[in-house]
Amino acid sequence: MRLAAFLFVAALVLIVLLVQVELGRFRVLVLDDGRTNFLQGVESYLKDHNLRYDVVTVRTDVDQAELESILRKYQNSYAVGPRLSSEAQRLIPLLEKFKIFAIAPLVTSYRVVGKSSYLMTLSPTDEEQGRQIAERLKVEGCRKVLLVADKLNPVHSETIEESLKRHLSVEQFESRQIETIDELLGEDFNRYDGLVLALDGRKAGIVVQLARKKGFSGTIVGSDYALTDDLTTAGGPAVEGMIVCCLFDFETMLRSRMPDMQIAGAYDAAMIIADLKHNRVSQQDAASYLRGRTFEGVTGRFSVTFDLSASRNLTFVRVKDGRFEIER
Amino acid sequence: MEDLKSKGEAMSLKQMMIRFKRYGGLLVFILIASFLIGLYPLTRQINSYYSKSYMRLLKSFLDEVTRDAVESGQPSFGMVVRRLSEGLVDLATGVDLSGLLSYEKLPSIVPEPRGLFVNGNSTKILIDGGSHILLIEIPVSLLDRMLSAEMAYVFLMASDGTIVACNDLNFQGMRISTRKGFVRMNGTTGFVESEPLEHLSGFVASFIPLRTYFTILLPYLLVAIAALCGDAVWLSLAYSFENRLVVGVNMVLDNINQSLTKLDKTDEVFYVPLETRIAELSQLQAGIQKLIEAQKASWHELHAMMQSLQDTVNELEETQRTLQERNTQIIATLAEAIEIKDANTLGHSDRVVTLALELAKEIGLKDPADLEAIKFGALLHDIGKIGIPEYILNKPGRLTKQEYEVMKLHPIYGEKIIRKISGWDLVADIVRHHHENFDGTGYPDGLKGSQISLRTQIVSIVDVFCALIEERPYRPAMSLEEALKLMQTEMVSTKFDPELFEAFKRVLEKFPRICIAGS
Repeated sequence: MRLAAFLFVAALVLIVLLVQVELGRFRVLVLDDGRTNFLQGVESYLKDHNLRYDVVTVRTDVDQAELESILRKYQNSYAVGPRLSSEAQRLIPLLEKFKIFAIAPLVTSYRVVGKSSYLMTLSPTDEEQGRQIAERLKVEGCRKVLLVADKLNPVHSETIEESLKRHLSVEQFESRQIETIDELLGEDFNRYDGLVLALDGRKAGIVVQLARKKGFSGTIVGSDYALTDDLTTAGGPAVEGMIVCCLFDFETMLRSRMPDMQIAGAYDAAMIIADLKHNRVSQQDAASYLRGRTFEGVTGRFSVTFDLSASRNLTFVRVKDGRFEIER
Repeated sequence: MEDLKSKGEAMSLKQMMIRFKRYGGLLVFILIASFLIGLYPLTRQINSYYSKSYMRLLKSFLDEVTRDAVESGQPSFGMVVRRLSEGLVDLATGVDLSGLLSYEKLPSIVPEPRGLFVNGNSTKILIDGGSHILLIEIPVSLLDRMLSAEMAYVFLMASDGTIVACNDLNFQGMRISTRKGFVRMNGTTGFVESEPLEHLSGFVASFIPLRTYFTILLPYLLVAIAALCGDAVWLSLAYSFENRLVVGVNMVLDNINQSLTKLDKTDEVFYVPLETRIAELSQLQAGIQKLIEAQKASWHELHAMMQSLQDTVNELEETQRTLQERNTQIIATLAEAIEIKDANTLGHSDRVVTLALELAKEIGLKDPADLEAIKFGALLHDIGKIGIPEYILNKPGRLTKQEYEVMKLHPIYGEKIIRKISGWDLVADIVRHHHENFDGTGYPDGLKGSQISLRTQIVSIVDVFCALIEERPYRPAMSLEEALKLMQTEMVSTKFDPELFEAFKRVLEKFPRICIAGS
């Protein structure tokens, strides 16, 4: 009887393990909001290095309770993402709760960077980006500047705005935070000679089209947020000559044939996760392991700072013939 | 036993165990086969239920949404409807969307999950609106709210396999094959099945994770596992029981055989029961122990009885010896009494006995009954002389005819005396006929030839010889040669058998001293 009971329990345990553990493969989460190419970057890295990790996409654009229930299943994991600083701010408590170490390649806001030992970025902070954009506008001779930012990414929008305000010395500086393009239908773009877009590439392309249609002929500068292929796809000829801030070493990205910042950022994030796994660094110890280390990836050479951001040089690229070229 | 015989031959333990295990193995096979046979229709039913129901639900949802959008032009539930020119320019903003949207024929699903006028992801459907193209943008969250994703997922796919709508956002934007089969998506393995949309270039597909099968089939699996476990336990018990029983029985049988073998040789046997974990074997050993003890007790009793019997036999033999000795003494005394009465025959009987026994050996008689009859017949052949008056017996001269007739009665008297002794028939025969002649001229019955027993002839020839070499009142003793000569010339073939006489002569050659009268 004891043997029968033992066999029965063993079979049940086996079934539960098979269902829950799914053979115990190493798992990498991709924290996606439906607008990233992170999965592509992670899969590229795994394919290039012949690694057989289980890549699981977790949508972050769901309500907090659902997100918590999903992340609970993936405790003690490594993750790539999220895309936005606002999403990162919402995720940090869950990352810490479930001990998930996330590498968000493009998160830049100082409101989230350095706030948790479970979140790191591969980018410099918005403070530096704002300063660089301000200098670029000054070089371009812009005196009246309009900032159009994403209302759905308030953290990035607000920090960029704060940084610009701090570093810009212009006659006029105004900002608009929008959800849809229709909110700019009444905007008079001709009043400005400088347009800064803290929007994703698709929205930025459409806004540039709209602005050009309304006769805007000034300098257009996009934050790193806009540096995706969607910018040229959505903007078409209208975005020709537009300057975009690149948080990574764009020259290295082009050499690596990865001009998309999300793909390149996810590729290097996967590289760091593979290094952590190789050295058997737990999620709890990842932050202390990474601080001060230097990596050489498809996004260029960078060092991890004390606040888990990347110390590297910013570059600007310009749209030329539908492609991004390094702005010398 | 009758039952066993009526049901056929009894099986050995090993055969029983083989049959037991064979049935267990057969049961395992039947269980697995039944499990697989039952699993197939159940799995098909699960596929059918979720695939068809979810896909039908999605299709009807799409039909309803697009019909509302076309007929009313009023967006609802967060949907966006934009009018576009043929060149895919948004008529409201003038923004050229041709870089983001494309189609081959209308209506069409745009293989691009990212929203244009909707935040987040959206499903974009381009339909013919007459003078313009209608872009219907449906937030994916709407689908997520409409269809539960607890047990299965339903996908809306563009013609290139890109998932543009799904009731679980985690699958959004992925690309899958439209062939049905098991795939691994986003860390989940499951069964995918798709079918083309009728009025739209695209597909609907369902994806049923393995955990759904597990959840639904869990009771079935539990019952099957329990049955298999039960059977495994059965087989395990069978193997365990076989080991215990066969080994235990063999050990006990060896022990019993050893004890029984010793019991044949000695009664110093003590059966020590072996320790087994089978109660019946312990009971059997206890029974065997009692039987052996009982056997030993019987053996002791029998031994005592045999000893007692042997003692009795010994006593009887001793008594018999004593009686025989007394008989012999009595007989010898009788013979002596005759000799005392017939003073002329002193020592005659002893001499006759000795020579008669030698002659019997010479002619090959070995039967103890014959030899005993000859011995006592020779000794007592003249016992009938007790009834003859002494004056006749001891008359110095020749007997008268009347006296001789009286004298001829002594074999009859002797036979009468001896006949009364039980078991002495042969002796009585010798006594009666020791005066019969070979040619039939003797007395008292005038027997001749083979009518006279060989025993009697032996005693007769020896009696005559001894009488001749002994002194008689009416003549002197003859020498051996004279006696033999007389017998040869006057008595052979008339009184004696010639062959017997020849044998007697050989005896006399061997033992001449016996022939000396009175020795």
